[in-house]
Amino acid sequence: MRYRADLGVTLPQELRKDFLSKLWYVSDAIEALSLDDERLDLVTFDLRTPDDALAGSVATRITDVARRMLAGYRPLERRVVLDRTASAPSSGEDPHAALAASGDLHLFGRGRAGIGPLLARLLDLLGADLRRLGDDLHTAPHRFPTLIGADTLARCRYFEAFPHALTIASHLREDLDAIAAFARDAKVEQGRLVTDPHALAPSECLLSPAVCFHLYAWLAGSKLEGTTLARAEGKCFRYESGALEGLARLWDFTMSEFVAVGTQPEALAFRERGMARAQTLFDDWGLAYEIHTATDPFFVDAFAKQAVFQAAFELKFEASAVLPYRGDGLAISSFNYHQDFFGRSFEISDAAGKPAHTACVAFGVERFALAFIAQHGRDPRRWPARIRQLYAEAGA
Amino acid sequence: METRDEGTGAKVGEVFRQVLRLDPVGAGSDLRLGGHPSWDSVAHIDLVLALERAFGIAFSTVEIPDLDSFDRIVSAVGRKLAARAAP
Repeated sequence: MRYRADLGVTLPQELRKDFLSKLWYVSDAIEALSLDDERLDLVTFDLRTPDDALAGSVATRITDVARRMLAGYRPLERRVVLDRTASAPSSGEDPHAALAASGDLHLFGRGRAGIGPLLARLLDLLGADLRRLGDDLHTAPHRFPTLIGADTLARCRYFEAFPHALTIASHLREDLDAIAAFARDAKVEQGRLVTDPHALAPSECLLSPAVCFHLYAWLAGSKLEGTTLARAEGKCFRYESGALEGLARLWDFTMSEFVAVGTQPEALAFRERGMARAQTLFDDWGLAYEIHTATDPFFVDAFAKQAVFQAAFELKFEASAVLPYRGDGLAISSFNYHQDFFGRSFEISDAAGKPAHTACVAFGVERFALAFIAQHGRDPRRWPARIRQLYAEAGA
Repeated sequence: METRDEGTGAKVGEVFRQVLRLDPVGAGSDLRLGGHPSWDSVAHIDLVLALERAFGIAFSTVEIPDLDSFDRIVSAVGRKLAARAAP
């Protein structure tokens, strides 16, 4: 049975995707939801189990989300700084099913993908190109843990801005009885671990939602003598509920990041260099894409203010690759300037003793591979000459 | 006209005191965005939102970075109010 939520306000078209992505967090009873393209003031939704009383409560909450997201909202003018979307190549298919059939992709569950030979080899080539990009940006290689301290994320104010996306790690309490009870009673029902929540220890760590936070925690309390330029690749975790979508939106994904910590001019210059160098990378891979100003997917109450902040000061640019089978773009890279936010939060100062400014350039590697395959197909013989040659040289 | 500008300036000053805990007159006429620890770009958005509520006006994202001094803000608010009052 379909239920309705009349929003009482008409959403701006550009807010449609962000709004819908937040509605999955209204209630875990929601099974499906949609916002009519023609009527941006009406949400329809299904519940897992029909329940009129619950539907009324869900509808009220949906209306409340609209009200809160629009508080202080204003049109965010997207500035396109580079458009290379004309004549985008197309493989003519959504590659997910074919990749799964050929043993190159396996979805273990929502947002968790196994990568088979074709994609793994492609990602190896991309990794080599990203290392060259990092060398050109004079970044030094680092490796960081997948776990990140709750204290680090608190200093990033991540809990306020993106609480919905968190993946919290825990372990059993150091308690013989609790461990024995878990070993005896724990079971899995409908894919979920069922256990006594009191057996779990308070979480000191979460699964990291970004790579660069580790570097700021590493540098916390330090005074830099010059610019710190670093790079690292790591697994990142962002829970996106009903918006999870194959390789386009994974819960567990890989991010390659290049980071600068220094003065304001140094951070801004690094972002410019990174954006220019990324264009060379995209062109080498024959991708159709555009680079434009962007905002992060902040949660409901932080949304309007933080999005306005990012847009007003052009703190974020994204490279969006054409996904021909979807008829829209997919963010594969971002170019971010954080002003002195992390410098202040982590008490990192520049050589003059002022809070350091930071910038990062990030690539979502599975998304990059998806965009490439969606545009150029699965047959290496049809790939751009350089990639085809590298693939052959790698012995594939 | 002069009276209205003084009134606008006083009301903008009151918003500064409430949001930034900063007296724009006491801080000097060269008070600028980023020129005082309590007026960074994060607090700037709070300031703009409070100004919008106080005066019933709206700034676009393009206008917000240009509101970078007390004097410029008073002028911009005055222009918004004048545009709203115009027939």
